Amino acid sequence: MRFVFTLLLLLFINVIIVKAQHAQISFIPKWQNQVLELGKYYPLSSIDSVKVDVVKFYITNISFWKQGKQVYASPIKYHLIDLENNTVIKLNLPSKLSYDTIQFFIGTDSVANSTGAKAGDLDPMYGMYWAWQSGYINVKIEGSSSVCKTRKNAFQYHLGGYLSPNQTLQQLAFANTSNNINIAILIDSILQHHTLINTTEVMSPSVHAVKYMQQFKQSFQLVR
Amino acid sequence: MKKQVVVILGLVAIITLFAFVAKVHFLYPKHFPKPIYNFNNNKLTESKILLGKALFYDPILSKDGSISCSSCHNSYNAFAHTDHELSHGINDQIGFRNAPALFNLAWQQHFMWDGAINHLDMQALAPINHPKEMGENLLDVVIKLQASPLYKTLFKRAFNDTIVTGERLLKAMSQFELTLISANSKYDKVMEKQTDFTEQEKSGYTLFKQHCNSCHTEPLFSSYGFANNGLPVDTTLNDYGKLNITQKSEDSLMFKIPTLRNLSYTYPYMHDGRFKKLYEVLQHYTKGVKQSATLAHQLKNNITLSANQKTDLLAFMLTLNDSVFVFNPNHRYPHQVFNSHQTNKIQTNKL
Repeated sequence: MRFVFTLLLLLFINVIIVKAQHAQISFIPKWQNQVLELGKYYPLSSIDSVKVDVVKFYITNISFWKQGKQVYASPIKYHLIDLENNTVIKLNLPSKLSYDTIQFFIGTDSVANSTGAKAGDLDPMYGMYWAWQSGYINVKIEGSSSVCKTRKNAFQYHLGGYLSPNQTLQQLAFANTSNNINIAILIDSILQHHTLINTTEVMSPSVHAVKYMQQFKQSFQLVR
Repeated sequence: MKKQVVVILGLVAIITLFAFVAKVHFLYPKHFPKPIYNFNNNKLTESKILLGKALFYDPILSKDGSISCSSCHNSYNAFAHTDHELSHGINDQIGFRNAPALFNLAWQQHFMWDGAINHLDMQALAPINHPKEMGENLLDVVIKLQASPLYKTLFKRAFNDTIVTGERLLKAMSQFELTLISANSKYDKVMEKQTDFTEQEKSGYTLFKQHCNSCHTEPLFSSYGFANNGLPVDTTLNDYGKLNITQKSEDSLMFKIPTLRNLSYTYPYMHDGRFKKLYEVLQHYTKGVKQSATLAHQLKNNITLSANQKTDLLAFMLTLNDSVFVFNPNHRYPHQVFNSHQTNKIQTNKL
C-alpha cells in the first residue's frame, strides 16, 4: 500500500516537473543607462544631486498572449517588488506554452482594494496600504535631493487610488517570446530636475498620483 | 489496509467534529436584514474571536503600550467613549472626532465619520497608525506579537501555527467586533412580539417614522449612508467630513449617519460630541439646522415638534437601549486570558 502511494506521489511530482517551464521577470532600475543603486547620489544638474532610498511597487495579473488571445494567466496575482531586496518574479508556466506578448499591470485592482484584509504580498504590514483611508499604495518612491526645499530635502511619492476619477492602475504589454524577461525602469525619466522642484510629496489619490503613475509606466522598457 | 482506512476515517471524523465544534454561526434576529460582511472570507471560530478580543483589549497595539481599542470603545458604553467630546490617544493627545459606538458592524460598508475606510477588516489600521491615537504601525505590532508567549498560544490555537501576520491580526479583530450585536432592546422585543410599546412609545414611534426613519432607518436605526444634518461648522476643528477624503464639493459636511440604538450609553452626540443630552439634539433638528448646499433634503424645512411630541419621541428612543448587549460579560475585558498569561499557565478550558 505504502509503496503504491509513494509511486503515485513520485509520478505526480514528475508530471508537474516535466510539464512546467520556468520564466522570470527581472526589474532593473536605471539612472542614465547605469544600474541605479539605492542610497547613492546621482547628478541631477551641474550643481544638484538626487538620492533614491525606496522604490516599491506592485506588479499584478501577469498574463501571456498569442496573436491577440490570452494563452495563460499566472495564478499568483499580486507581487510586491522592492528594489532593496526583491526584484525578480519567478513563474512556472505550462510546458510548450508559446506566446508573443506578456502583459501585466502596475498597481492593484479594485478587488484587492475593497474586499478586506489580504495575505501574502498584499498584507498591509508591508507598509503599502494607507491607514487613514482605504487603498493600496501602488508605487512608493522616496529619497532626497538638494533641490527639494523640504525637511531633510526629502521627497515622497506614494501613488495610489482605485476609485474614479483617480484610478492609478496601469496596464503594460511587451512583445516578447523569451522566458527570461528583463525590464529596465528609467528612474531618471521620473525624477527630473523640474519635477523635484515642483512636487516633493504625493500622498493621496489625486490627479497628480495618476500623472506620476503614467510616468512610472512609461519608464518601463524591455531590455532585449 | 483495513486498519489504515479506519485510521484515516477516524482522523477525518475528528477533524470534521473539531471544525463543527469550533465554527461559530453568526446569529441575528429575523427582523434584521442580511449582513454585508462576507463571512466566507473570514469564517468565525471561537479561537479567532478570542484572539480578536485579546487584541481589542491589549494596549500592545499602541506605540507606548498605553492605549487599547477599549480605551475609546468601552463595553459599558456600547463601545463608545462616554463623557469625551473628542477622544484621546497616546501622550494624552486629543483627537478631533468623537469615538463612535461599535456594534452591528456586519451591516456596515463604510467606517469612520468620513467614510474613509471601506471594509471592517481595514478599520483598525486607522487608529493603530494615527499619531494622535495609537501612533504605531502594523509591522511593529506584528513584531511585538511574535515575541509574546501569550500571542504565540492564541495564534496557534486560532490558526494551527504561531505565525503572526497583518492579515491574521486584522481578521481576528474583525471577528471579535462582528460578535458585538445589539438586538435585545425593547424595540426588538416588540418586533418579535414578546412585548408591546406603551402609548407614549407608540406615539414616539409614529413620530420617529415620520421625521427620522429615512436616515436612521430601522431596524438598525441608520441607513449607514452619509448626510449633512445641518450642524454649523465648529471653527476650532473645521471638519468638513467626507470632503476631507474625496475633495468633492458635494461631499462637504457629509458625515456617516450614526445609529440611534443605545443612545443612553453613548453620549455625547455628533461627530464632534457637541451635544451632551438628547434634548439638545432635538433642539438642533427643530431649531438649529443650518442651511447649506449639501444639507439633507429632509431637513430643508424645519421639523416642528411640540413639547409633548419631543417627550414621546425620546420615550421611543429609550426603547432602543439594549442593556443585554451593554452588560454582556462575553464582550468584556478577558481577564482570564491575560491573567493566565501572567501566571504562565494558560488554562485551555477557560479560554
